[in-house]
Amino acid sequence: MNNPYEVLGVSPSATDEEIKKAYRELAKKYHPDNYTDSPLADVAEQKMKEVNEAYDEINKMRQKGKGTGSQSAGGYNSYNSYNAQNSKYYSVRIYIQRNMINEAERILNEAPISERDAEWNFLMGMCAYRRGFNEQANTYFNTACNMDPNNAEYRTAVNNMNNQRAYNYGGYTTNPNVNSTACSVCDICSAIMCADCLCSCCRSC
Amino acid sequence: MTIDKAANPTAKMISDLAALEGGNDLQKRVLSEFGYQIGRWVYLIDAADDYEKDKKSGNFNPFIKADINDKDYINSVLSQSLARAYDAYNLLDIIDFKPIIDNMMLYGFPNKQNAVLNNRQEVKNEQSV
Repeated sequence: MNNPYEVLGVSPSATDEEIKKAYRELAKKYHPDNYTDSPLADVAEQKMKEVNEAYDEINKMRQKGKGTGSQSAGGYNSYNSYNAQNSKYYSVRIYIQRNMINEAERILNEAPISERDAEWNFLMGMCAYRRGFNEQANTYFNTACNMDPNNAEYRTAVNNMNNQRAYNYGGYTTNPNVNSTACSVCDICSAIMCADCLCSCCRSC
Repeated sequence: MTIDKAANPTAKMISDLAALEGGNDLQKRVLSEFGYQIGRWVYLIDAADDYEKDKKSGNFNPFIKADINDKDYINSVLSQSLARAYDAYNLLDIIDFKPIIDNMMLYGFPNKQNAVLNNRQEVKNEQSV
């Protein structure tokens, strides 16, 4: 594998604490929950695997002994691990996994109106999402969820949509009703912290 | 003509252009997704910006056509494209200019989005990542 320190973006002389922090940030970035229905889910999974391997490698080299503390990426209830065998839309799911959306939709469109159940709507949503048709995906996922509120797979999809539509990624939030020239709590707090640091710098030690 | 379909030509164009920059299949896929959602965002932010003008002139506008004038709704449509673009962007191994592009994704784009939807001036001298 590549230089594990490079993978984590740290120098070989980084402290254990710095290593852990770097790992946590990357694990947060590549976490499978961020990519549940995404066409790039496998790419994220691969990156997560690389990060986990690098973290394990570094800990081994530093002789951490038992338990590296790295999270297993395999424990999540992913779309890929869904028990698709029972689904009457098994082939549709396979097509979606392989990003063969035309084929998936062809089969779905053959279903008579009376058979268009929650799963049908969910899979139509997956197809739309893969095409980049976010609005259509949103509608289908919500319909699926309304038809079968107890289904975790559909609920997860709707939650993903809602999270993305809020765009709260740590920078500015997208909010058309907030005058972002005003001070947020973050601005005030950081200003106080800055002032405090400056004052400490001026104090004689 | 839904919003999705209206944005598709622009989105697809940027998607294909971005994918050309990919060195391997994986990069092409990531750049494809990134380009598509950015292209979609560009088309839709432009439509949001031209909303009033198009209403007066009768020109085609995907939001007007879909009977949408709720600012919060338009905001979430735009935000979702930005979110998908950012998720894709995170899967690229950017080396050059990464802090600048990070800044754009987390501050520049949302700032512009807020400004357009509020018909306001953008915040100058923004924070950096």
